[in-house]
Amino acid sequence: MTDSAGVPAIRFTGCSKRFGETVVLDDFTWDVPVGRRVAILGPSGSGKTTLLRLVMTIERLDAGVIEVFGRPIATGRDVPSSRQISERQVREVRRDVGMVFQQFNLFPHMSALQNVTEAPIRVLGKSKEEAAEHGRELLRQVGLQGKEDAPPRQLSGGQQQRVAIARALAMEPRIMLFDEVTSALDPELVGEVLEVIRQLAEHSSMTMLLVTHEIGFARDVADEVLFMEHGRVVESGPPEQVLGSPREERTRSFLRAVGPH
Amino acid sequence: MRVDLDYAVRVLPTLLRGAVTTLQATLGGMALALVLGLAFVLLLRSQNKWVSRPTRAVLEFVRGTPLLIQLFFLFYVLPEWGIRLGALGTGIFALGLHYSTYIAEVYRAGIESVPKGQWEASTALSFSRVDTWRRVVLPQAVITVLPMLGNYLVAMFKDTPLLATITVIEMLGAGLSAAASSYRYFEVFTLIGLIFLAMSLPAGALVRWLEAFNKRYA
Ligand SMILES: Nc1ncnc2c1ncn2[C@@H]1O[C@H](COP(=O)(O)OP(=O)(O)O)[C@@H](O)[C@H]1O
Ligand SMILES: [Mg+2]
Repeated sequence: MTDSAGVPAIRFTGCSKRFGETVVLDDFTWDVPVGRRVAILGPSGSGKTTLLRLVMTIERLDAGVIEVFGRPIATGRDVPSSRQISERQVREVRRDVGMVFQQFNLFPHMSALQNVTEAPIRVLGKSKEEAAEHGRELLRQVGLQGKEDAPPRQLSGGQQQRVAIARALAMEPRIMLFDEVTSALDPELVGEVLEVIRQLAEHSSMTMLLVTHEIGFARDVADEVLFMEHGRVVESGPPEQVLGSPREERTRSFLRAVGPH
Repeated sequence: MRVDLDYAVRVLPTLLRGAVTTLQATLGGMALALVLGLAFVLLLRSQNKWVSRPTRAVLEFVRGTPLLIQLFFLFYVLPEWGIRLGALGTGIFALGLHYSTYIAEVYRAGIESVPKGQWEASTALSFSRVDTWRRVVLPQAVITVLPMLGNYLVAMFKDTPLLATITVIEMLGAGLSAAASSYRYFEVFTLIGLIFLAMSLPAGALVRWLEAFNKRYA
């Protein structure tokens, strides 16, 4: 790895985003060190999804800069044109980032294996054989051996989400973004997906941002918890501190509301 | 009335040759309509107003005028511009152009039915724009609209007799000229009806198959 010491995996500098009149992120500045696992908590509508989608360049940044391993991936309209980045640069930097969505967003017209191999073939230029071999290995890792040929609709929600995780991993990103990946699942399927992410956290050195309402999971996997509201950081710190003895009243009332752990 | 079976047997090859032309016109016209329709819908979706607006105008103009008039126009005007497609070629071009304007709308509906999450997943995987269209959006759009495309295929098939007006000897034209000299209208048109039926049965089966395919994968 060539990251010079101190270059964060993700750096937000003065980031703002609004939808019409709704200010979703307001002058947001934050560094995510390489290898850090951050659980992002906050009430619905606080801007958690938007934060991840801005990093993934699905949403356009209004102001500020987001850098990934020191290279800009998104720039706001306030950034001078000499420092704006081309679509090609964005695609280049974006390969370091993978995302798993709340609603899976699998390709319904492809088998589980094709879902996993399509991007490595098209984007990384891997051969079909190489991509398939790696794809099978990833599906095995997420416990889906034997499901390679199944179309998404024949899989349970938990299985679909595990295919989506394998699909993101197939691009070998150094950063993974998880947006409430268990919120769309029936309760009995939540465990299998969280277990896959736990294993991933344990056996890799990837940087992870995990938006979640599963407090127990956050405590296990994260080494930092960020609590946000109205597009601002209310507090952040080690899980035992933020979850165990939160400084802010807002955090305390949120944790009370999501229940005992 | 006496049915002249001998005459029916004698005229059958002429009608079948016409049927082959009908088939050529339908398949050629449909292939062209599928490709042109795709080109139109991509132009229609262009961010550039100077591209999308003229495209919309062309589509509305072609859709708003009768196929018969387009046939005559192309048949008499294209040669003046030095474009010689022959009668059948002109017929295929007119069918393809006319139907492409409807098929563009079908594609548009199909494209709009692809969930936003599919575009977002494509971005997250860093697909190029071309791959996003080619591998993710269009396959899903087309699967969704397959039954509608099948219906347009059948509609085009039924429009092919119009080609007789520009001297294409398709089945109806062949039958008319045979009957004009023999006066055996009953035999000729019974046979034409039967041949059309024989050709629509597989077409109907195709549409049902497309619907089943659509149910399985859409
Ligand atoms: N595409 C959009 N258009 C308009 N408003 C949006 C859009 N996406 C999100 N919002 C608004 O932005 C705010 C933050 O949303 P979001 O990032 O989804 O929050 P969270 O994930 O924390 O629930 C909400 O008020 C939401 O209604
Ligand atoms: Mg959200």
